[in-house]
Amino acid sequence: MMKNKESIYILVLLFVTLVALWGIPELVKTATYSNDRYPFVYFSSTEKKLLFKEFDGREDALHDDEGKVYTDKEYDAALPLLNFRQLTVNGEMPDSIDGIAIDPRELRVKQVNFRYGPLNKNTPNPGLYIMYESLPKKAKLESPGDLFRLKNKIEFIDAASNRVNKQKSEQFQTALLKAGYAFPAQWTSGNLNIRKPYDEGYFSLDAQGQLYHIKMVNGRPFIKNTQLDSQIEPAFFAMEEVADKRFYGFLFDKKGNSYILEEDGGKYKTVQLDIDPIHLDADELMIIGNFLYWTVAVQTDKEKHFYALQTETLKRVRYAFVEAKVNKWEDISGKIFPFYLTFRDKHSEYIAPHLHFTAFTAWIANVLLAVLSLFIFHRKSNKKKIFIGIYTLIFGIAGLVALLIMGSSTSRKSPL
Amino acid sequence: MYKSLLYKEWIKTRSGIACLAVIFLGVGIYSFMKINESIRLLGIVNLWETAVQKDPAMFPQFKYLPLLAGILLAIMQYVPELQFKRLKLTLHLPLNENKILLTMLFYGVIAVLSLLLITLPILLLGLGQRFPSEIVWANFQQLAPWFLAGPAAYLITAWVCLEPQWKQRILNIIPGIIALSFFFLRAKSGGYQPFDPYLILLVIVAFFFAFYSTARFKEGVQ
Repeated sequence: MMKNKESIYILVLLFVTLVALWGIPELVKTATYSNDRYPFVYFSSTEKKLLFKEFDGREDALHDDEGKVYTDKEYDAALPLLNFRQLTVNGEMPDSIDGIAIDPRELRVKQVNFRYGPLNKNTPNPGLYIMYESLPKKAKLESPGDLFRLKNKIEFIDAASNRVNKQKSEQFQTALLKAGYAFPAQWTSGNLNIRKPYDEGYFSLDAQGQLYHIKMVNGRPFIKNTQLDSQIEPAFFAMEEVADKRFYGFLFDKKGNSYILEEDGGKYKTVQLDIDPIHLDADELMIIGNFLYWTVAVQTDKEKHFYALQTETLKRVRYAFVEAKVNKWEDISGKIFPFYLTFRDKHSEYIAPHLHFTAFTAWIANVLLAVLSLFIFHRKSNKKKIFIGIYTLIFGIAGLVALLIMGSSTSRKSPL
Repeated sequence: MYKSLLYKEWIKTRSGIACLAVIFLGVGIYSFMKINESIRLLGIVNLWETAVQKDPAMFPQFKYLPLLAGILLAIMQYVPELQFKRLKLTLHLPLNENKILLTMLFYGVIAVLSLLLITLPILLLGLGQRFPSEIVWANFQQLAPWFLAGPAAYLITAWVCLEPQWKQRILNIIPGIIALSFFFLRAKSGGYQPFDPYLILLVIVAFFFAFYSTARFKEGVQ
C-alpha cells in the first residue's frame, strides 16, 4: 500500500486542484462579473444617423454617431417610427417621412423584431416537431394530436395511442421522396408554438444540403425544394412569422452571411443583409426594423456593430461600432488566473469542460505564489519543496489551495 | 475469507439497502402517479407538446435520491469501522489490505449501482408506454448525471469516512461537495451529453481515494 501511496496522493491532489481550478474562478466571477452595458441604438429615419442612448448616467446620454448631443424631446422627435405612440399623443407625429406617407397599419405590420444568439443553435433538440395545418378552417391554429420525427424517414406518432400513424407517415414520406428529399435529414427548423399568428411549417436541410419547405395544407403534404443559389450553404434557419408575410425567416450560411428567405411568385428568393459575416457560434444578432429602415446590431465578444439597412433592399446606409468596456472579471482573471476551468459556455446550452487561457501576465501571480508556497512549506525536505514550487508555478492559486488542503495535516508523514 | 468479509458488509448495510429500496420504489410509484395526474389534467397531447417545446424531464423527484443513497450506504459501511478503531482489526485479517478495501468498495459500488440500474430501466420502460422514444431518451439523458452522482457520492463519502484525522476529514469534505455539484449543474435535458464521459471518469478516479485514507490510517496518523 505504501508503494502506491505516492501515486494515489498525486491523483487526489490533481482531483482537488481540478475542483479548485473551477471553483475559485467561479467564486471570483460571481463577485465581479457584470454585463457589457452597450447603448441602445436606433437609426433615425429623419436625421439619417444612428442614434445612441447610453445607460451609464453620463450627461451626453443621447447622441448620434457624429457626436451631436440630443435633448429628450429632440431624441423622441428624431425617432418618429420608434416613438410613434408618444409623438401621436403629443400631436407631434409627422404625416410623412421623405415624402412617404405614414400609415399606422403599415407601420405596425412592417415591424420586425428578431434576435439570434448561439444558444438558439447550440442546444439539445429532442427531434420531435408539431405539424400544424397551414390553412386552418378556424382563425386559430389547432393541435394536430400527433408529433413527427424527421431523421432517416418521416414518421407521425399519434399521442393517444403512442403508435406511428402509418397512413399519414407514408403520405408525407412519399411526398418527400417525390420532391427529391434525400434522407437522413441534417436539421429541421420551425416554430412549434401554437400561439404564432400563422403557420408556415418547417424548413429542413436534407442529406445533400438542399433546403426544403415542408408544411401541411388542407391535410396534405406541401413539400418544395427552395433551390437556393449553390453558393449558399445553409447553416441555420430561424422561422419568423412577420405580420406582413414578406418573408419566411432568417437564413444563415456556413460563411456567416445573413439572409431573409422570401416567397417570390411560387419560388423562393434570398435577400442578403448588407452586414459583415457573423460568427454563428459566438455572435449575437438583433434586428429592430420599421417600414423604412432596419437597425441591425451584432455583438461579438469584443465589440458591438450597428448597421442601418434600407428595409426594401437591405442595403447598408449607415454603420457604427462600439468597443466593449473591459469587464472587471476579465481584468481580474487576466491578473490572477493564467488559465481556469468552466463547465458552461455562454454560447452553448451543453455542459462540457473548457479550459480558458487569459493573459500571459497572469503567470507573474503564479511565480509569486510559488515563492510563497516555499515559505509556507519551508519545513519540508528540498525534494518536496521543488515539487511544491513547480506545482504551484503550474497551477497557481488552485494548486496552492490543493496543496494546503491535502498537505496541511501530514507534515511528518505526507508522501510529498 | 472474501465470503465472510462480504457477509460482514451485508450485515452492516442490509437494513439500509432495504430502506433505500423502499424509498426508490415509493418515489418511483409517486413519479408515475404525478405523470398520470398530468395526463388526466392536461391531456396526453398537451403533455407531449409541452415536453418537446419546453423540457421533457418527467422525473424531477429522482434528482438527489441516488446521491443520498450513495452517502447513506457509505456511512453505514464505514462509520462502524471507525468506532473503536474496528478498521484496524479488519485490516489485520489474513488478506492483503488492498484486497480487503477493494472488496469493501466493490461491495458498496455494486450495491448502489444495483439499486440504480434496477430503477432506471423501470422508469424508462414505464415512460415508454405513453411517450415516444425521443422523450424517453431525453429523460435518460436527464437522469444520467443524477444517477452517476450515486456511485460518486458513495466513493467520496468512503474517502471522507476512512480518513483518520478529523481536521483532514473536514478538508476532504470541501472538494468532495464541490465535485458532487458537477453532477447537478443546471442544464436542459440532453445538455449533459458531452459531459457524461468526464463524470464517469470522475467516478473511476474517486474509486482510488479511499486507499489514500486507509494508508494514512495504517501509518497511525491521528
